[in-house]
Amino acid sequence: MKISEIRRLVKLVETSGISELEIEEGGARVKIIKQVSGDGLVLPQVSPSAAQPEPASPTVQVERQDISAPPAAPSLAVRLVDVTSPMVGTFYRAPSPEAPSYVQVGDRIKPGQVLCILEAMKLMNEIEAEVGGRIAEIAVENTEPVEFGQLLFRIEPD
Amino acid sequence: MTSWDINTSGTHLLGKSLRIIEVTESTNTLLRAEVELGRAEEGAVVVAEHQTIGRGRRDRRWEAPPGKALLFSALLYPKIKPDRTQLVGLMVSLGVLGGIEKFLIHSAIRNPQSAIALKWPNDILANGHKLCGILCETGFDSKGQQFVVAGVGLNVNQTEDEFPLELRRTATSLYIMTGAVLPRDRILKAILSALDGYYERLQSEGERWIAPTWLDSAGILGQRVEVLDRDEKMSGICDGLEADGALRLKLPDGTVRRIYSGEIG
Repeated sequence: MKISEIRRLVKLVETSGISELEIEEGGARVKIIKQVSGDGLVLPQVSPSAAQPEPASPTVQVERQDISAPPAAPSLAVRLVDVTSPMVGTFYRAPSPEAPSYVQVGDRIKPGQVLCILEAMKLMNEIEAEVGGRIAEIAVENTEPVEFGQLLFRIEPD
Repeated sequence: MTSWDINTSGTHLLGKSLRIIEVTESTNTLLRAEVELGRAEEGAVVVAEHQTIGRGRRDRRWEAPPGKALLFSALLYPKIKPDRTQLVGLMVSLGVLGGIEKFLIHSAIRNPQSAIALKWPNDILANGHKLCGILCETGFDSKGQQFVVAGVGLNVNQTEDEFPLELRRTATSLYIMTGAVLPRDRILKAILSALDGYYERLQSEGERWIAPTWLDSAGILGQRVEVLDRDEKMSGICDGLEADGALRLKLPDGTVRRIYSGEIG
């Protein structure tokens, strides 16, 4: 089975109402399962069937390597939690200029942990994490001004 | 240590729990730590004779020789929307100004030549020099409730020589202003009493009155103001305050900038 044919079948499953498709051809069997991710995206997943009676031919083996890439898609669909600014102000990553930053990308954080300070009119507001997880992104540079509702952090929740 | 005679029975909440401490890093830091451990209640006030790491905005230090300035922090739980919290700083400056004025009038020692004024957002000036600085910080207590610690540093009995050299041209004290050594405990009581009234109003009526009251008291509407916002220096006319306390600066080209973080020159 050629890769272009598998792509066509993936497309077919993606756009059709069916949720699963299994095809056997020339001793190789391909199973396509449609998954619905947390954010509503429909993600077809292609997996070579384990119940294959004979060793696959080299061409099919190559195809399998190619089609094994799509299962990475579900990890892209992990829902990140946005932390947005509750006010207009200035973003500070540390409690004072000499102090280390509250958090770095990749840090594990607990709910209630301080992420940054937003200053507006000499009032220093601590912004806390509402969920635990890992800091996936810090969207603002230190000392930059931020607007109401602006994205500050993305957290990959536990 | 000076003896403090504080009777806060006239206040509703502020200063009901009041402690005088000889030395601490910063009254804000101390009070925050107590709140986070669940050991301080709404309205609690901590006064220090001396702060070893008194703080101003960001990296700025607040320095005063022991026993000369009035240094305290108060714990508030304002009922206010998160994007309006900064109005608490304006409210505290109104309370401090009101307390100082009341004390001076009652003591009949007000020097009529001296003008005390608010400076946006929450400094207090006397004859154009800094008399008082206020630094508010928010945090979450052991129950997850958001609080505000309002730190006040008021220059009371410092002589000119007692200010660091670099501040002598820009800072002043009530002593320099009036020529009299003044009782810090009575000033504190007057401030707590005034602030208590404002705080009670905030809790019962909401925050809408704060920006107009502050503007009225500061008297800067229509005045020329210089603003340093990061590296940008702007000059314009004060066009009022936004409901959230931001300064409206009308520039020569007619546009209006909303200032949230700048310094007024």
